[in-house]
Amino acid sequence: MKHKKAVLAALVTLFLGVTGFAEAQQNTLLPVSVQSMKTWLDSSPESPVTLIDLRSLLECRDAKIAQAVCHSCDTQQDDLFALVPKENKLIFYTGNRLADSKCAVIDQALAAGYKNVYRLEGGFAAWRKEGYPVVSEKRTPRVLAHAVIPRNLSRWQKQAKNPLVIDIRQAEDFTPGHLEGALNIPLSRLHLDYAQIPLDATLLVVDEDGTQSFLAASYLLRKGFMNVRRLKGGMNEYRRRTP
Amino acid sequence: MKKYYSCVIFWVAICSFLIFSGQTFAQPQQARCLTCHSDASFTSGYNASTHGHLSCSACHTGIDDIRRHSTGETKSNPVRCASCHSSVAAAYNTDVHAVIQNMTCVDCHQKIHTITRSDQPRKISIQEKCVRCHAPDDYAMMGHGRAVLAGNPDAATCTDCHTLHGTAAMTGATENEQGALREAYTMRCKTCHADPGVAERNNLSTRIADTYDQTYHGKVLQVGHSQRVAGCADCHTGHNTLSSDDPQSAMHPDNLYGTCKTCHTTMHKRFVSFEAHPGAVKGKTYLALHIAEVSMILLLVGVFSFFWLHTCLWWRRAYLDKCRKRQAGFIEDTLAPHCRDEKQVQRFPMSQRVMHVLLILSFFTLVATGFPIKYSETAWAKVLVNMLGGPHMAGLFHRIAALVLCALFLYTLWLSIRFLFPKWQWRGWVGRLFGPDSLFPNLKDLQDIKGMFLWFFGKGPMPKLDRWTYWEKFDFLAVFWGMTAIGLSGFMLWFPGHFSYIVPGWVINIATIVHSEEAFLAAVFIFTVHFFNNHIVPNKFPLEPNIFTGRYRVEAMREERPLEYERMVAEGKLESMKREGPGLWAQLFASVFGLGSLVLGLILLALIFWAVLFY
Repeated sequence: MKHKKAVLAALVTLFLGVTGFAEAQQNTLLPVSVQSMKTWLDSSPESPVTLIDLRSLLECRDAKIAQAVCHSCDTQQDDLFALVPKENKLIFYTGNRLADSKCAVIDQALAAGYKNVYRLEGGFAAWRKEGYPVVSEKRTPRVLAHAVIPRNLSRWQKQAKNPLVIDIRQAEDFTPGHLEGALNIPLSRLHLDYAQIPLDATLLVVDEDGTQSFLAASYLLRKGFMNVRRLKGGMNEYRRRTP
Repeated sequence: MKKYYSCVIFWVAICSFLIFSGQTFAQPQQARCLTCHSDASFTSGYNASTHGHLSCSACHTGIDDIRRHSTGETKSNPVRCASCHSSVAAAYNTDVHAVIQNMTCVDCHQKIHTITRSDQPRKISIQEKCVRCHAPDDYAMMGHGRAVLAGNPDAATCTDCHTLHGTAAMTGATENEQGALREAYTMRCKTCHADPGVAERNNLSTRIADTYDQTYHGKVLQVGHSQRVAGCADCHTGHNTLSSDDPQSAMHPDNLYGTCKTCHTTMHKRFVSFEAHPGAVKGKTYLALHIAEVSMILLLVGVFSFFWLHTCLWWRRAYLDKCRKRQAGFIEDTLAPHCRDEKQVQRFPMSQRVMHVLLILSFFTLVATGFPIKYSETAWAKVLVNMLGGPHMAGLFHRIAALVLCALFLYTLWLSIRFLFPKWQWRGWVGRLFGPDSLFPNLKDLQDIKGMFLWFFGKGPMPKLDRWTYWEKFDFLAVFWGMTAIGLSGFMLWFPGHFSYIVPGWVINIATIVHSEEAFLAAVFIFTVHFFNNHIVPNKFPLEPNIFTGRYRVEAMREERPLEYERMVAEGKLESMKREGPGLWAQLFASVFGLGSLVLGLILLALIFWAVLFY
C-alpha cells in the first residue's frame, strides 16, 4: 500500500512536471516556415502579424521583408512593443541563423506576455531563396573588398600598413575567442562607432561565418577608409583551417 | 495591281519605321537626358557600350513628365535588369550573392553605362571579375586559376564549378543542402577529371575519378549520403588544387595531417598514409593493396571453385537418385509437413535455433545495407537504400546488425570453449576437439570428401556421415575466419581515426578490400552453397526446416547421418533424443520464415550477380 502511494505520487509529479514543461515550452519561440509566414502576411488584417528583423540596422535597411520593422538584438528600448496588440503574432527573423532567446528583444517580447511568438525557419535567407520580394530602405552599394584567406592572415598582418582587425561579432561571441589585437565593433553599432577607427589603418573585417563582413567592409569603404579587406569565411573558417 | 503595290509599299514603310524608330527616337531623347546627365560615362562611353543601342528610358522607366523630373519632383523607377535579362534574374534569385549578400547586378557589372564585352578570353574575363572581391590568392594563384591565366582551355574558371548566376550558398545551408552541394560539386569535378582527353592533355591520371568512387567516401556519396563524407573539395580545400609537391597544397605531405583532421578529429599522424585514390598515380607502387587484392581473389576463386563444383555434382547425383526412387515408388510426391504424432529426433536445442534466427536477421540486414555501398554505381543501390529508410538509417541498421553478429560470434566462441573444457576440465580436450560431436575438421572429413566425390561419379556409395558433415564444419569455421576478417575490417572502417593509433592509414585501404571481398564471399557462399546443401538439394527442396523446428524424422537421421544414428543406438541414447513432432505454429514459422529468407536471399543474390555482370 505504501509503495502504491509512492508510485502514485511519482506519477502525479511526473505528470505535473511534463505539463509544466509543456507550459514553459509555450513561452519560447515556435518555428514557422517561410510558406506559412507568407500566408499569414497575405491575410494580415484578419490575422495580424508583427514582423521584426533582428539583424543590424545596416543589414535591415540594406534589404528586408517589406512589412518588417528593424530592431537589432541589442536595441536598448523598454517600450518596443507598447503599440503592438497582445493578440498579434510576433515573428522574429535573423540572417540565416535561428533567432534564439539570447536576444534581448525576444526576451522583452516574451516578458511582455505575447503568446504567439515565432521565429522564421532559415531566416531572411530562406525568404529570399523562395524568391519573395524584399525592399531596400537604404542600400549600401557594395565596393570591391578583397578577401584574405585564413592561411595568409599572418602574411597580411606583416605586410599591411597599420593593420587593424575589426571584429563585427556581438561581444558575447567576441570575448571567448578573437584574433589578437582585434577591435570589437558589432555590426549593429558600426554606423554609430565607425569614427573610433583610425582613418589611416589598413582594416581587416572579421565576422562569424563570412556572411556579414562584405557589407561591413563596403560600408567602411563608403565612409572613407581607403584600404579594407575581409577574412574569408570569418572566424568559423579561421578556426577550421588553423590547427 | 496598282492598289496591291501601294499596299505593299505602305506596310514596308510602316515596318521600317517600327524597326528603326528605336534608333531614331533614342537619339534625340538621349540627347535630352544628356543635357542634365552630362557625366563623361554617359556622354562618351555609353554609345559604344553593350547597351548603347538602348535609349535611357529603356532602363530608367517611369519618367512621364520630363519637366517634373528635371526639377527633381519625380524620380525614375528602380532599374530592373530582369525586364530584359529574365532568365538570368530567375537563376540569380537563389544565388548566394543575392540570398546572403544582397548584391545586385551592378555590384559585379560595375560602370554599367560603359560596359562592353571583354577582349579577354571568356574564362579569364570571368576570373578577373570574381577575384575583385574573392581572395585572389585563394583561387587565381592556385591550380585551376593559374592554368586559366596561362591560357589552358581545359582549366576550370569560377563559373565552370559554381555556375554563372546560380552559385548555391554553402554558408547557412542545412546539412542536407550542404550534402546536395557536395554531391553536385563532386559531379562537376568528375565531368572534367573523368574525361580521358582532358586527363591526357594535362598529364593527369585518368583514374582519379573512378579510384575515388571505389573508396568509402566515393561509394557513400554515390548512394546519396553526401552529408557525412568527403567530396573532392573537402580534401582539396575548394580552390587549392595545387599539385601535392607544392608546399601550399593541402595534399602536400606537411599539410595532409591538417587536411584530414578537418573531419577526422581523432586521428594519429600515421593516418595520412591512407590512399584516397588507390591506384590512381602513375608509376607509384601499391604493393600492400595489390597483395591484399590478389589474396582475396585467390580465396574467392579457391572457395567457389571447390564448392560450386561440389554443389553441381551433388545436385546431379541427388537428382538422379530421387528420380530413380520416385520411379520405383519409394518416395511420396508431397511437400506437406509431417504429422505431429510422429516421434522425431532432437537435433538443435532452442538456444541454437534462436541464434540461427538472429544470425539470419543480422546477416540479411548486413547484406541488404552493405551491398548497396559495395555496388553503389548500380541502379538498384539507391532504390534499396531508400527502401531501408535512406542512407543514414541503412548505415545505422548495418552497424546494429554488425554488433548483433559480433555478440553471436562471441557467444559461439564461449560455447566452443565450454564444449572443449566442460566444467573447466582440461583433460581430454584433444579427444573432444577431434571427436564426433566436434565441429572441428578431422581425418574422417577428408575421407568423407573423397567418398562424396566417388559417390558423385557413381564409383561408390555415399559415405556414412556423422553428426556434423564436412560442409557444415566449413560453414561453422568460415564464420570464425569471416568474422575475424570482416569484423575487424568493419570496425576499422567504422572508427578509422581511432585505429590510426594502432595501424597506419594504408591499412584502412586494405580493410576496405578485405571487408568488401569477404562480404562478397560470405553472401554468395551462403546464398548458393549453403542454400543448396541444406535446402535446395533435391531430397530437401524447398526447405529443410529442422534448424527452425529443432527436430527431424528418425528415418532422415538414419539416412543422412547413419554414423550418428548407429552411435546413438549403440550407446542407448536414441530414445532419450526423441521428442514430439513440432507443433503447427513451429511448422508454420519454419515454413514462412525459412522460405521467406530463402526467397530474399535469392533476390539479393540476383542483385549481386546483376552488379557483377553488368557494372
